[in-house]
Amino acid sequence: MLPEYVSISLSLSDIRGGSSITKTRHYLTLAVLIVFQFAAALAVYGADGGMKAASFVPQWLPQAQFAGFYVALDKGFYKKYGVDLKIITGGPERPPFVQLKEGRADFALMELSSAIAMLAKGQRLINIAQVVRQNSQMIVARKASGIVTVDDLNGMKLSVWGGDYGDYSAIAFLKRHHIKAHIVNQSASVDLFMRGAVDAAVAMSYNDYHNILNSGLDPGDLVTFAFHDYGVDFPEDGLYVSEQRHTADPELSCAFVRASVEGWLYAFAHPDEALDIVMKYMIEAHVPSNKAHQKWMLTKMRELIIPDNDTTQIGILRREDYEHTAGQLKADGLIETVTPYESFYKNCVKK
Amino acid sequence: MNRFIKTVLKNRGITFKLIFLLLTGSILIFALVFKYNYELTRKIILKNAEDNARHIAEIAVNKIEGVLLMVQRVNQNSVKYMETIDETKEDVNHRLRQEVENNREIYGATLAYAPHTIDKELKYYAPYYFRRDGAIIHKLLGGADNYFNKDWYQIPMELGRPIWSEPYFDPDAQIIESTYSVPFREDAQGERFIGVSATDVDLNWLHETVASVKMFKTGYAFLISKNGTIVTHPDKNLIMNESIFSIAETREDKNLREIGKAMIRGETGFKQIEGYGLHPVPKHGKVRKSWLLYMPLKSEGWSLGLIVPEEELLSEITALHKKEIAIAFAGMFFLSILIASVSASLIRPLKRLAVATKDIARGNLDIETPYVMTNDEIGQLTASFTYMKTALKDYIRELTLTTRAKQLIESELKIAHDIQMSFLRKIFPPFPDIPEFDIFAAIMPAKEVGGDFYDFFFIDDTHLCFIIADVSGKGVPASLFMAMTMTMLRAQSTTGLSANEILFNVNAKMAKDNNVNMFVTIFYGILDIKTGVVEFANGGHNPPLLYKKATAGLIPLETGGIVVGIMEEDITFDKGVVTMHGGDFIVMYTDGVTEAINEKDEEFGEERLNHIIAENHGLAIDALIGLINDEVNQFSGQQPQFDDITLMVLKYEGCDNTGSKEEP
Repeated sequence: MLPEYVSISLSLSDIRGGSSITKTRHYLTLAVLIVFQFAAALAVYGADGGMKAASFVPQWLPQAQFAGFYVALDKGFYKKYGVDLKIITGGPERPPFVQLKEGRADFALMELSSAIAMLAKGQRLINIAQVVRQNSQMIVARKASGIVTVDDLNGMKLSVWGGDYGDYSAIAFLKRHHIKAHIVNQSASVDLFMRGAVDAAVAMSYNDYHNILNSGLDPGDLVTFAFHDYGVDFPEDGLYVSEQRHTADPELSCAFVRASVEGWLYAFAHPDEALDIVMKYMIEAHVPSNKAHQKWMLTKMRELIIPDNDTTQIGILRREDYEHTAGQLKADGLIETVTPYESFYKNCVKK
Repeated sequence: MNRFIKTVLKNRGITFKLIFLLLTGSILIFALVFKYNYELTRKIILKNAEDNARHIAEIAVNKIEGVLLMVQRVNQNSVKYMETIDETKEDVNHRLRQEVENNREIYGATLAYAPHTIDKELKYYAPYYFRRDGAIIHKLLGGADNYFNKDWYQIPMELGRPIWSEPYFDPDAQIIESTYSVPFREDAQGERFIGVSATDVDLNWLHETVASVKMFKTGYAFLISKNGTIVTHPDKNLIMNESIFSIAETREDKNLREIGKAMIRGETGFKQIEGYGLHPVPKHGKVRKSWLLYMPLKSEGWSLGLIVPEEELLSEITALHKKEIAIAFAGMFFLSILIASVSASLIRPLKRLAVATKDIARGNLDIETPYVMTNDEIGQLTASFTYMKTALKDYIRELTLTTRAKQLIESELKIAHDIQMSFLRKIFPPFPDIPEFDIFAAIMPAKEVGGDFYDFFFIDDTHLCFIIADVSGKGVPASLFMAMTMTMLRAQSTTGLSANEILFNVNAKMAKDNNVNMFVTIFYGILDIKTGVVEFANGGHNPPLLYKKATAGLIPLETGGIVVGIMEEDITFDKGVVTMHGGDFIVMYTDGVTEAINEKDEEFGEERLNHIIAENHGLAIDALIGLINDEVNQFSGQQPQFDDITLMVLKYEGCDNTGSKEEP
């Protein structure tokens, strides 16, 4: 009995046909080679023309949510900045904060609110770039359920992502609007909502919302409450490094950030090429994928990463965003003290 | 359109017009019949195809549902058993193993208990039996699996009823599975949720079953889940990756999205879609069309789609219609030939008639007219034409004969006229050795042979006879009458009789035998050249005018006689006598002078003549005659000359000039 979304690393060769098997083997060989190279590089650290080895874990499996990182990797931007980067796949069974904590990854992508919570729990983290600067989440309900206003959510069965690593936007939203709903944990699929097991569900604009549309519901069938429209605008994906790792080599952190920003800019300028790159990594990782969904995701990511259309602001965590998020978490009793902005965030974008 | 037809038909032959109009009409009629026939047969074929596809789909759906319903029954029976019989953990394990063992369609089975239900101490308890490499493996699902947050557990728990999960890929087993989960309670009446009984099905057989569904040459079936995810499809890249909605989004095909929605609502339908089913649409080239029959798998909420490529569906009707069009074209071709030949047979005589008409216009009446056997309008036209040609020919023949006769007569008349003219003296001065007098005459004949004449001759050495006459009528009779009169007058002149006696004799002879009622006016004069005495008689002629030099006056020489030849034999004529002196002259003329008509229908008249003579008495006599002639011509203008114009002037010069001659 295995969960429906866990389809991570093993070959799909029996379904995908012969040529894919060859391809898969090729990739495997490549992966093995890369690992060996990595090991060798570690063994003779510093001999590789000043190239520094580093690893990065995003929250999830390859998808357009991380297009900038995969594009930067594929186009050799990290190498250009002297970073020999390895992207480790994330996912529910290997959450980034755990990998960061256990030292299996140098850098991790995490939601701002969960990072603040981690920090409050004693994990020594530093934000080196705020990638997603606008909150993407919303509550989705069927119009047919009779839900029209936020208040109508009271008493309804609402599914939200739970677990330790999740972010706190949904909880902050419910508290802020004093909603007493029957909360159910939701998985990565939208089936709970689609089957009508819950009245409403939390969805990300770039992912789950589109999955709902592509399960046969039209935007006109739905009512949505985007959090950022309702006073909860927690920035999401940010790049984190352990304090210890950052202190040891702050240049490495910033080189990684700058290469990533360049990757994002390239992805937005060349969306078709970026999608092809992302799809390549998805297939490599045996992640179910279709281009329509990835295209939607990349389009939405652009809106979230540069909501003000000012590309110079990519990667910058604004003080007010941080204080809004941390302040809300403190107010909701999720944290006791707010770490000062200066010690939480190190600006690597600024030259 | 009208203008177009007019432009096309302008300056075209009848054959072209006939072919153009009849073919256009035929093509229109054919196109209408063809269109109707096409729509009708298409409808029938589509209906048949739909029935056929429905039948094929029903068989496939029943086959799939047979297996899935069996799985449902096993699971539901298990739950019913559990809700009635208290089981130990060992009993449960044994039963689960047996379920997997006894049903080859079942890949794995579990009883997943809610927290602290089977055992107060245990949060997770879910014994799981599944196949692996021909063996049945036992595993206890627990916290690492976090099954409380899995759809197969959570959804039936929340809904309180069994569900089939969305298909998912099991990376450990490398298969696509779907799980049928039934929530179970404490007992049959109990409300308390205890857990979920879940049965995994390997969907590999489903793939084979659906792949075996075929229609026509490249028709195929596919299966989508409740969310529209593609579960089976010949293009394996689509399976679990795409949904019917993501494909619709990529293609920007709203119709496909609507069909997808109808499919997941559990509807049945037969709809046309763009593309070869759900296969990726090629970026270039013609997009194929296909028909999609969809039918729900009721118990799972899934839907089976059966794709029939339109070109295969309509291949028979396409072939039929190609033949129809070929036949129609052949028909049109033969129809054109038929029209052309019919129209040619109609037009040939017309064309020949046109040629013949041209020849006839050029005067060739001996040309053969086209032979037409038919008695239709063309035949009638040809007959009329032939009749016209014959009539024309006859007419022309008659005309030719008449003309020839007329020409003959005219030439004879000409001869007669010439002879007549030869009677007249034409050499002036006639007597150049005789100084006592001068005489000049001129005759301007009208078109036809006329009856005017003049004459002068010596009777003896001293007596000059001079005559002017006008025979009534024109032409040959007048000419002959004139010749006769002239002969008689000459004959009588030798008798030595006086002028009036001569006219008496001539009249007597003429009137006696005159059966033709012709007559003649005669002025007969005798001049004694020695004395200047003129003895004359006038038989109805315009009185000549005597110009007396001494008085410069004009005296008409009138005796009161009537016309000669028509009256009684014993009609007498008076004798007149005048004496001319040197410089006196007599102007004699016929009525052609005085009765000449101008454009206002006025006569020239005697007054004009008198005036001309009086004004121009000094002119030489030939010049005077020329002048009078010119005046008459000028007066007449463009009016044709109807009558002969004859003028004669006798001028007496006197005896003194010579000295040899004595005054009497």
